[in-house]
Amino acid sequence: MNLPNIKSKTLFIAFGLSFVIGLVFLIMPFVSQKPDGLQKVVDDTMSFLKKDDFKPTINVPMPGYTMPGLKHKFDTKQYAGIIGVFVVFGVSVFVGYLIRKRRKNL
Amino acid sequence: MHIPDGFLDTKTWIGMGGISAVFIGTAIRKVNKKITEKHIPLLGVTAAFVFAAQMFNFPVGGGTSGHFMGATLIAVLLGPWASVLIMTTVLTVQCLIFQDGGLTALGANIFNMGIVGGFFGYYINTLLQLFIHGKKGIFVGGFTASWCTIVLSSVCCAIELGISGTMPFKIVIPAMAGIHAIIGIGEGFITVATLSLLIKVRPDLLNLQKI
Repeated sequence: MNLPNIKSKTLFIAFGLSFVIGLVFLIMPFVSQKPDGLQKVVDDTMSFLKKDDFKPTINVPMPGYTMPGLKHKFDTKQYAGIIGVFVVFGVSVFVGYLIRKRRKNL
Repeated sequence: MHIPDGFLDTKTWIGMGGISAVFIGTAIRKVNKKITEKHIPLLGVTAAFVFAAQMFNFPVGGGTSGHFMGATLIAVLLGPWASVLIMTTVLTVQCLIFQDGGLTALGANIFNMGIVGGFFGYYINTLLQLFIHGKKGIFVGGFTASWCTIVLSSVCCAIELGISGTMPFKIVIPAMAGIHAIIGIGEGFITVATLSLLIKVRPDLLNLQKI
C-alpha cells in the first residue's frame, strides 16, 4: 500500500475537521432539549428521586457542555463542542501515533 | 445512554471497568499489529465526528430524544478493535471534561457503546454484506447493524441498572429497549448518510484495511 504524502493527509484532516465544526455550528441551535432515552426512563420510573440524589464523582471544567462567561445555552454548547472536537481529535491522533511508534520500537 | 455517577453499585461498576480494561488492552495490542500512517488521520477525524454527532439530540416522540452513538460507523470503517479505542477516547473526554457520563460508570459506558457497539456493529454488517453485495449491501448492512447495536447497547445498560438494583429488570429492560428501538432508526439513517457521503468523496476509505 502506498503511503499518502503529507499534503494529502493535511487536506483530509483540514476538510474533515472543518466539516465537523461546520456541523456543530449549523446543527447545535436546533438540537432537541428533551431528555435522552436513559434519562426519560429514569424520569418515568424514579420520579420520586430528586436531581441532586446522584452526585458526580469529580468536578469538571465544562459540565453539561456549559462554559463560564457565556450566557446563552446554545452558544455555550457550540463553543464547548468545538473545544471537545479538537481535544478528541488530538487525543485520538496522539494515541494512534503512540501505538504505531510502539510497534516501530519493538 | 451515558450512565451518570451513582446509577451503578460498586460491584457493577468495578466489574464493568475490569471487563472494559481487558478489552482496551487487547484493542491496543491488536491495533498495534496493523495500524499504518494512513489510519491515523482517519482515527482522529472519525473520533471528532462521533463526538460532535453525539451532541446532536434528535426528537423521537413521547417527550424523548436520542443521539448518534457511532460505534458501528467506526467499526465499518476501521474494524471493531479501533472502534473500542475511539469510543474509549470519546467517552473518556466526555466524562472528564463535560460530565457526560459518570467517572464510576465509564467502564460500563465503554462496554455498552464501545465494545458491544463496535463488535456487534462490525459482525452484523459483515454478515449482511456476505448476502447483499455492492452499495446496497453497504447501506443495508450499515443501517441494520446500527439499529441492532443501539438496541443491544441499551439492553446491556438496562441489565447493568438491574444488577445494581437501581431499577427492576422487568421495567428497565423493556423501557430502554423500546425507546432505543426508535432511536436506532435515527442511528441507522445517520450511519447510512455518512457512508453515502464517504462513497462519493473518499470511497477508498471503505476499503482500508481494518485494524
